Amino acid sequence: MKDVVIAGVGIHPFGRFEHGYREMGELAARGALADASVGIQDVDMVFVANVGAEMAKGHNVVDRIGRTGVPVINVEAACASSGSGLFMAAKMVESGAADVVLCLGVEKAPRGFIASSGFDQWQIENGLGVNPMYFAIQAQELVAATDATVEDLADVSVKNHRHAVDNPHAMYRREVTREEVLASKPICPPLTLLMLCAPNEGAAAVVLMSRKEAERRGVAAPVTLAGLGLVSRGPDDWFVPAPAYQAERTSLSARAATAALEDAGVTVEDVDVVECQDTDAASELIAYSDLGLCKPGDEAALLRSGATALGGRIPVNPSGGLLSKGEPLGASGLGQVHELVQQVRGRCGSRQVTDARVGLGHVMGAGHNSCVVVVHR
Amino acid sequence: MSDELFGPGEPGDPTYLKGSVCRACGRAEFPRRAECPACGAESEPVDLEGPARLRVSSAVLAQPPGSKVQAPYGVGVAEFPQGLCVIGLLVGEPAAGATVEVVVHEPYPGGRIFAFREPGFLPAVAI
Repeated sequence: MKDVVIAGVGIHPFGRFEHGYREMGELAARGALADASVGIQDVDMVFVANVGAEMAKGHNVVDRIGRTGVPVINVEAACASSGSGLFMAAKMVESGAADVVLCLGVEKAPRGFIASSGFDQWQIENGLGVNPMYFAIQAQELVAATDATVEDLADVSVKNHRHAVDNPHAMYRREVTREEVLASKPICPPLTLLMLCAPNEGAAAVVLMSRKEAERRGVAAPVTLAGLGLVSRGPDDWFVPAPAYQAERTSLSARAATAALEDAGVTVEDVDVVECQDTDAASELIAYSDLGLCKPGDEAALLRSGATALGGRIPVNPSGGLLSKGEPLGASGLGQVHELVQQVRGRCGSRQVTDARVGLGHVMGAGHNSCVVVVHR
Repeated sequence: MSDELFGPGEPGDPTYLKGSVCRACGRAEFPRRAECPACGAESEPVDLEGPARLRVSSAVLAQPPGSKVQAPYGVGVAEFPQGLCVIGLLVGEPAAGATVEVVVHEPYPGGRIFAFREPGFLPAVAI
């Protein structure tokens, strides 16, 4: 990615709220604009990521801020929605088609299981259209193929909940114990309720600029959007909602990570802090090897070493991750970017990763999408 | 829809899944495809009848939206000799590693779907 900067970030906390998605989106967007010291009149183009709201959702959010006549484009790709929006926004700036782009992710999801993830009717009626079942299959395969145990899965949740205690934007900010996680309601073995994230509500936004534009405007704390990798399903990938997979399968996340790191011109050893798609506890462990933080098979060892906890060598999900924040589908990816930008700016208070310079964010969604983003100071 | 997914039979009868195999690269797919999604070559129908190896054994313990099957129920992944893993309901409680066959299953009154079952499994019969 050539000369694209994140000039500002904004967020609406993740949780449950009385007000609607339009208000949440407005708050996050206004926050990002203010952080970048620009107004809506300065924006050339808007991308809005969302899964479940009404038609023309982005237009309805932007209308609350200003009517400037610029293109507003809605983007949807399940959990990778805002990663896809960010990809479009960054490519617009990189290509010179726009100097200032607002990218917003917003979601107001109902409680409980996500009802429609692209399953066929036969899957739904026969009890096979169940997201946590997919995560449980991944978890069991991980436990069967490596030395990871159910206790390790619980410990991912323990770590992320501990991180979230100091995150004012997280939904759950209470520490949990391994015993509590294991004793919580069983959903799909081996996964219990506290090993799964909750679909919820929230919004996050960024303002992207060309480096030249940011310099011209004297943007206070620009962060370089160094690399982006966005991939969809290849022949041997598998995720929700596919009813079958190849015995030898490949990883969307690994391909997205390779593309993003290459785009950024860095290696995974250069990364100081990671926000990954911890839809469930096993997904975080799988991401460790997919993203290259460890070799396949060493996921549990990396966790047990403390490397991925705050204070460790490569903290993962210092925000508390989706396990603690909850997952507003359209906003989760930009929520990660918000955290990474504030981390590399050194603004994360007690959950600050010491001298974080390079951050990596990772989302993975139904329909087979993955987006990895690399930012640096 | 069930006609497109699996062969005929009454609940409890062994059956097969209607899959396909690419004539060029040999990848198996389920449900059946006319063209290989990997290489675009023509695929030919194949009956996935097992025996298969149960690769994953799990369950759904909370009631999902839209499901006519009442939780709790067993789910698993069967790996067929063609190198394809298929997600399905379980009959009985086969453990991971078990050899399973494909059977016609009635998961709710009037419903018909394929399921995986250990050969020789006999449901408990009320006397």
